[in-house]
Amino acid sequence: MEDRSLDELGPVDYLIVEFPVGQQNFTGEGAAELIRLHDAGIIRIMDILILMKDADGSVEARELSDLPELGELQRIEAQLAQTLAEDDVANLAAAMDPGSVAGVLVYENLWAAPFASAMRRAGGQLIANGRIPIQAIIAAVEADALAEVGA
Amino acid sequence: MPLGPGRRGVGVIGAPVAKAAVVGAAISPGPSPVAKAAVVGAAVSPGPSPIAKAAVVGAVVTPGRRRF
Repeated sequence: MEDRSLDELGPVDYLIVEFPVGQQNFTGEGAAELIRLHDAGIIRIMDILILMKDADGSVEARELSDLPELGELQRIEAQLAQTLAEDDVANLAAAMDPGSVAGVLVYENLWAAPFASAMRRAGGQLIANGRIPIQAIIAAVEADALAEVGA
Repeated sequence: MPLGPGRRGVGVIGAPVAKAAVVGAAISPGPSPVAKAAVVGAAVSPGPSPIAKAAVVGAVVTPGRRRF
């Protein structure tokens, strides 16, 4: 990682996965899949935080190293860039429901890095990106289907 | 439990995060059974709704759906 230039970095994303009250079945399967993506060079895990939001709305943040059993995440923990600051906790937790637990993941999209770098070398610059919710695709397909029926 | 000294400094998120639509809602019982079947079919081929599945897959991977 140290010998990569800034121009070779892939886009960095974050996601928050919330586990509502009564749906907190942690088996280690998610961690194993995450490590598989990291080890395969698809993503680079840059940061992980665990957030807990109490019923009264107060938020507690924990490091991965605060967990009693890290398992395979142990070796990832040592490589974390700690991209997130304490200032970010409240902003991230704003999306959480009271009583829930959430994992926050920051990751570099290694799979996209060569393409992004090539685009930059060609003079391109990213002016927008985003995710299309599956609900939006459903709505569009349904609207098309209804239009065909009405035609 | 306070976070460590490595967490000091300027944050990168910038503003309170809004909750996104829950993807699970797309495949749970809802008002759109046809589209729901399409998405389920697209995810687990071959599905029970091949026509709708083709519509979703087509919308995603072929240029034929563009309407302008």
